[in-house]
Amino acid sequence: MATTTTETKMLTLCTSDKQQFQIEETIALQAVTIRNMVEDECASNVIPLPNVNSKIMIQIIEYLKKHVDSSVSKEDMEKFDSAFVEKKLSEIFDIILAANYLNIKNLLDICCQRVADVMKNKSPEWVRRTFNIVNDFTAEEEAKIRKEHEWAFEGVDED
Amino acid sequence: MEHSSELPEDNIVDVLNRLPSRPLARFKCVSRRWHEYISETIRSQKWRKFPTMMGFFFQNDELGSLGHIRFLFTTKKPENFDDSLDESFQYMDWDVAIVASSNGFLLGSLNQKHPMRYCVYNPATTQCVALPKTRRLYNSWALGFVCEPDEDDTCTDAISFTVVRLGLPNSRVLLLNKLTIEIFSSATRSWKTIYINLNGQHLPLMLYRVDKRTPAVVIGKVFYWLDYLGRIIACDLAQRKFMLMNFPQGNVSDGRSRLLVVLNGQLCYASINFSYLELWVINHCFLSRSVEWVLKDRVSIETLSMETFGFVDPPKYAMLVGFHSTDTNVIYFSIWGHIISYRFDTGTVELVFDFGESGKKIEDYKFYQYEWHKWPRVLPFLRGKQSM
Repeated sequence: MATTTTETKMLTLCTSDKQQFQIEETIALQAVTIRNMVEDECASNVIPLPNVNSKIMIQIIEYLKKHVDSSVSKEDMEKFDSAFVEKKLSEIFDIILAANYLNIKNLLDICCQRVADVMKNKSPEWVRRTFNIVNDFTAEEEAKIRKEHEWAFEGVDED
Repeated sequence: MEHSSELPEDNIVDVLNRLPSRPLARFKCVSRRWHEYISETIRSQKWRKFPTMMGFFFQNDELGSLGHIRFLFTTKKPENFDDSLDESFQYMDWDVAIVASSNGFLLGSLNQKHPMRYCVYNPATTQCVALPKTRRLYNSWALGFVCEPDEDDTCTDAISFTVVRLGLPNSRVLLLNKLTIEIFSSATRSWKTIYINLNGQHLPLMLYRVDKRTPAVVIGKVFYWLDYLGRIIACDLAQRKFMLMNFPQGNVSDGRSRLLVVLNGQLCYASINFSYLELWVINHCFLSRSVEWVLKDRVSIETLSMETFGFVDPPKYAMLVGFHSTDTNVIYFSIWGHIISYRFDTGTVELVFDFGESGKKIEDYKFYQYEWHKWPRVLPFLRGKQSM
């Protein structure tokens, strides 16, 4: 495509820790929440994102920049996505929260899939710790459920 | 690990929906909320209750020496299938001969020659139980195996099963006045023996030539076996009745491959030779001993195989592999080492698998259809692996 002469419209995003990010509008509009704000004209030049911090914002912008590029092949995009989610789970959780708030569906999808892939061979104890879930079963109840699903406990990773 | 944040329930649900059944079953004990969501929403509402026909387990038993167990996919692997299917029985502790399959479970025999030991195996969970020894030793026998998941049970996922063994004490005994049938039920966990008086009916002289690895087809409490002459031995275990049904075209020891199947609740008989594939519906009555054979379909193998696949030579031998257990219009057969599916309703033929060179020995293979439950069913007792 030939270089367009039209000026690239920029948006400024302001994160919870008051950092400002200048990005092209087409990149930012992939986030449905930002698109709605721009369309409703309820935002001026600076869009406040009080639920996202700058550390996460940098990663989300990296993701959005790649995905706005229509010249990237499907294969390369998949490669990028699988490399992108190679992060610590706590970071993935933060990205999920941000992607949720910003409403970026495909980012949410790859992050949830990543969590599922990591969880697949983990123990219930690991899940409780990771998701911060309180075990509200009695010891007997838990033992009974475990016994009923003994087959599912083969091949579980060491914590 | 540090945790900066907790995920909202919506996202946890999203993650859970991406997991296969094994971790889901394991995570039921995480908390009450997880237990409720996994049991009620995923298992009972979202995942179909009826299983998917995935393909066939098969095993070579040429010259009585057991070959490896392998699996043949006849469908695409379904969503949430996590490759946990033990396709070659590598988690099975014993050398077994597969002798029957039903509803996602396989019946194995632990001694080929004089089996008194059987085991039931679930290749999706690698759960295996050995049954107690049978009471009798036979030189020849016929088997039946029925496995029934309890669809209303949302808690334990347990199945119930029945193993039936019809035996002849000695192949030289020609004058039988009763049939001896051993029945194992998972509810009682023991074998019991019942007798069916023949009341002067013709003896199934060829009973000892019932294929030991071709199990009965079952309608309710009635078990049907095929003998080597293509006759059908029908035993009603509840009414203790017996009858022998002859194929209308006389003696059919002509190299045909045959099988019995239940289609839409009706007993059917399929046969194939190098020229025709036939499907018959059998109506019969134990009281009047009347049998009516209705030819439902007949197709020429030559047209099928040569026109569709361009085989140069007409087949010398064709073998029935089995029916699709949920789409009853589909039958699988083999020609020249190819597994081919045929649809009775549309006449469509498709190549399912090519055995290549090893396909020459395909007649030595026994095929057992396998249905995959998206949510696995478990054996009702003796959980886990048992030692003998």
